Amino acid sequence: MYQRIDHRIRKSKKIASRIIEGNTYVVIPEKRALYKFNKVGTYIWKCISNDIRVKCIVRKVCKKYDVSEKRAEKDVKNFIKDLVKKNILEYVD
Amino acid sequence: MLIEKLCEKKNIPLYSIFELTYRCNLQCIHCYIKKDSKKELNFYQIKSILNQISSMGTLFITFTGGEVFVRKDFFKILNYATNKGFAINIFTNATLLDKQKVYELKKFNISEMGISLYSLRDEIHDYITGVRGSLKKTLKGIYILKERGFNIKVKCPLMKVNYSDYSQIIDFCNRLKIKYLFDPVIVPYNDGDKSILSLRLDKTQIEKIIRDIRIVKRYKIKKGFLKSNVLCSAGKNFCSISPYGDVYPCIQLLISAGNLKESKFKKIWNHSKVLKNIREIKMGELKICKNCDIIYYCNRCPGLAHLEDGNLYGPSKIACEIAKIRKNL
Repeated sequence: MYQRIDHRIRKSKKIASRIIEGNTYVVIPEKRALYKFNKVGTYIWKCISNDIRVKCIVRKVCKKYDVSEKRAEKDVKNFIKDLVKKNILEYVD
Repeated sequence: MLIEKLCEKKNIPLYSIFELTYRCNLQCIHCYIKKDSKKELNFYQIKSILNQISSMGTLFITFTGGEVFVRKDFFKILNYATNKGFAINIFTNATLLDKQKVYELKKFNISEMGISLYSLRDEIHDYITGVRGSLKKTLKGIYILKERGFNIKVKCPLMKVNYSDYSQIIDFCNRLKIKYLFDPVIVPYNDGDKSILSLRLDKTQIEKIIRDIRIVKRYKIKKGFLKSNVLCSAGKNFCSISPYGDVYPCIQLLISAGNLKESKFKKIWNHSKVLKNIREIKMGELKICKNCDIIYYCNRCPGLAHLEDGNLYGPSKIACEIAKIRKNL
C-alpha cells in the first residue's frame, strides 16, 4: 500500500510489547516473533498511543531530534512501512 | 536471546508464571498440588497483579493451574492480559474446550497452548487422570485448537505407567505438526511429600529416553556451565505467582518471597530477603556439587533440590541420575 504523509496509523491488537531499559520489545504471539526497537524507534512507538497521522509523528521526531523534516519524513515512513509489513502497525484509513 | 540476558542481569521479571487456581477437573496421579481450601485471588486482585508485573517488565506470561478453564472468569483475565500487552502461554488439559471457546480464544494474544497428554490409549491416559473419557476430550480439544491455527505443545511427563507410549505420542504430534515435550522428572508434592516419586522411571528407562534422538535436544550438554556463577533464572528474569498471591522465584522453587494480598509486587521483587539470597547464590556455595566430577553434565534445578531434600544448596537426586547417564552417552 502506498503510504501518504496524512495516513493515520495505529498499533495492531495482535501484538504484545514492553519498554525495557529504554528499548521497546514487540512480540507477535501467533508467530512467536520478537522485535527490538532502538531509542528513536521507541520514541516513535510511544507517540503512537492512539490513531495518529504519520505527519504528526514526523513533526514530533523533528522537534525531539533536531533533524530536517525531509530526513525525518524519510526515516519515519520507512520505519512505519516496515512495521505495517510485519503486522505490528496498521493503517486506519 | 539478548533480552533474557539483560533481564537476568537487571532482575527484570520478563517471564511470569501465574497459577490461577489449584482446582482441576482431573485427578492426575502425579500431580504435585495438595488440595486445600484457601481462598483464591479474585478477578480484581488478578487485574491489579497484572498491572503491577506489567509495569515491572513482564512480557511473557504463562497461565496455569490446576486447570485454568475451571475459572469462570478466565476469559475476562485473558482479555485483560491481552489489553495489557502480554504474550500469553496457557497450560491446560484441554478437556473443557469446545468450538465456541476456541473461537473466543482466538481474540487473545496467545503464543502457545501447552496441553497435557499422557498416552493415546484410553486405559493409560484415563488411569493417569483418574477420569474416564478424559483422553477423548483432550484429543478433541487438540484437534479444535489445531483447526483454528493455534501453536500447540503437547506436554507429557513420563512415568513407569506411560513409558511405553511415548513413541506413539511423537508420531501423533509429527502427524499433526505440533511440538512435544517429554519430562522424565516427576516432582514431589508442593509440601515436600515424596510419595509420588515412586511413579518415576527407573534408570534404564531414563537412559532410553535420553538416548532417543527424537527427544534428546533438551538433554544436550550446556557448555560453560562450570564457568557460570548463575544457577538459574529463578528470581532474576523469572517469577511465579500462586492462586493465593504468593510470589515465588520459580514455580518449582517454593520459597515464598511475599504475598500480593499484603504487599505490592514491586516491594516484594525489589526488597524480599528470599529473592536477594537466591540471586546471590554462587557456585562455590554448592559444597557437594562444586566438586562433583560430572557437574559438566548436570542440569541441576535448585527448586527440585529444595523439594527433594529441603536443601537449596544440595544436589538434586534426579539431576544426579540424569547427569550420570549423560556422561556415558
